Amino acid sequence: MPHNQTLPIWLLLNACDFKSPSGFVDSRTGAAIYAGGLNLGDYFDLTEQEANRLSQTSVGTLHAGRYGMVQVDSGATQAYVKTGAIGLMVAGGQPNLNLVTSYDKGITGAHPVIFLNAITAGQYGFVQELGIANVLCGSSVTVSGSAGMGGIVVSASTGVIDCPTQSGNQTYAINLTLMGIALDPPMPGTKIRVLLELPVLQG
Amino acid sequence: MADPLYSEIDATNLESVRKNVVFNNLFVDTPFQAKLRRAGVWDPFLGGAGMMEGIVYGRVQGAAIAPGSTVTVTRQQLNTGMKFLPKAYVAWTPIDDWELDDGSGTGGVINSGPAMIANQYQIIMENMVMTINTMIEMDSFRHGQASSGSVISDNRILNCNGLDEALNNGYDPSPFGNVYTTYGGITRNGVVGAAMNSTPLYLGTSAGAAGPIDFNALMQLWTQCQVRGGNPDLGITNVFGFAAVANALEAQRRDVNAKKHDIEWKGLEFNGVEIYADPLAPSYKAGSYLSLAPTAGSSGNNNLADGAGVSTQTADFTSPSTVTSSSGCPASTTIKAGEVLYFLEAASFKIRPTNKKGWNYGIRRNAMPNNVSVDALFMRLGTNLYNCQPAHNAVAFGFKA
Repeated sequence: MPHNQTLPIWLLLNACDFKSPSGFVDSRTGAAIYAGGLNLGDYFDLTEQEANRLSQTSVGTLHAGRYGMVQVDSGATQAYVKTGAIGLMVAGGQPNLNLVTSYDKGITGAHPVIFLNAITAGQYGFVQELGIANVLCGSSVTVSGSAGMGGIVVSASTGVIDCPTQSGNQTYAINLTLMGIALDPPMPGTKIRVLLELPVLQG
Repeated sequence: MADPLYSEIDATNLESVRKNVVFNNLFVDTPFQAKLRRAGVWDPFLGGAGMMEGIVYGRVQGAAIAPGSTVTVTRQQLNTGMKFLPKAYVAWTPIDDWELDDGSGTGGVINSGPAMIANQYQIIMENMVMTINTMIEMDSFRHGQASSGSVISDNRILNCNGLDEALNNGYDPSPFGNVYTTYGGITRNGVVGAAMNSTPLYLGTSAGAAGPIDFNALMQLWTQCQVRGGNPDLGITNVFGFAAVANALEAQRRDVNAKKHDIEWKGLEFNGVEIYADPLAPSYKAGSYLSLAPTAGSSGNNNLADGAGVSTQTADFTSPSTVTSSSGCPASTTIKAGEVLYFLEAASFKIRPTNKKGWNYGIRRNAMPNNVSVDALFMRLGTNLYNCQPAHNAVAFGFKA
């Protein structure tokens, strides 16, 4: 799908949980109606101001970056598809880049994205792929507080992040789970802004 | 999915629907612009590097003098000019010609034919006009300057040069808590002295709480215009401010016959000032009833916003230390701006839409070169709204609804 800077989003970006990739379904059959211009895999870049304005602030304030329309795999663990959690390419579903699943059902390190809000398994919504994202820290963080700000953060089980130390960690393992740089102090169970350092992948 | 798909009821009956009727449950009227247009202040901007308005601020030398005296005949500058820039307002949306038709009859596979209830393209067009008008109306009450130190808190350089900056004296806070030391590029209280000044009238308490509005306040506001040569003929306030004014005047009215009493408060006239209620005029209380930006739930667009994405709802602010006794505003105090009332000389305003039709509610439609059906649609307006004689106008704030 192409880079698409002209498209409908119908609701705020972090409020979408559609039953079809266009946001339209036939009220009688439930089938997707392809109209309006929104399609699976549409991705676009937003400035900080645009992202702020397209945020449901009760869920979170979005930031500059790249956002895309994806489907959440029907086999995803629903509890892990939530605001700030990391999603991955479906294990066994590769190489589909527009189908994402919860962290526990994905291929570690394969096309990580950030969920903007809870999306029902099997349904459609927007995720963040680049830029500054609000990412959820795990219930314990190795290097927490101001000591972790500016450090790298890596993905961990259930789709949260940790701020590790180099000591005792193998380089390839860190590379595999690297998410980006913490722009806020990592704190257990909180969402912090992370400058994502992920490969650009579109499909 | 039901099986069979249609019941007999659904297979044999349509819903009762009135075609081409879509009720507006968001936008409100924009009477300030309407009243100004009716006053004939619509002055198309024909082009140029900006909009210059000449003003006189000084006088030549003169005195009562003994015949036969000699004088040194000197000359000083008498006049200068304000300068405003055209401001660009744009509303945008994607349109998919698979879904809807633009009137050409070439698209609209879905939204067309006898099954069409309402024309979605027409709804989009009308919505764009109302969105722009709402932005202009709200911006008419705000300002169009850059933020500046502690005196102007918000950057609105892209917005119209509205009443908040026009009706100020460089010392006292406006209803939005700013102090504007310039207007139209002219420095207030410098070479031009008080030529550009209009002193905001604060009606609250010395502790900063909102107070009542009464007959004396209205007279004071009228007097401030008159003493500078103004002839205020247009009063604008929010509907809640209007109610406060009506209630203040009603308390002094005496009816001989109260049988079948007719309460007709659609407009008030006070000393020649026709006061109208504008739902988008600044107010604290209106926000409790009107959906105003930036709060808007999960859709983000179910509110009314100005050109900066906020609104005209007033908020608490801290007054500066530079306040004057004329305004009545206490210094360095948390002020509740409450409701706001403007007494205006309509003829001293200018509305300056461009005469270029592409930017006078004109449509720009950009096809996406690699998309089979979606275009970007922009409605655009180049304009400004400003005042050429701020001293002929006055504003009061800090009163309760």
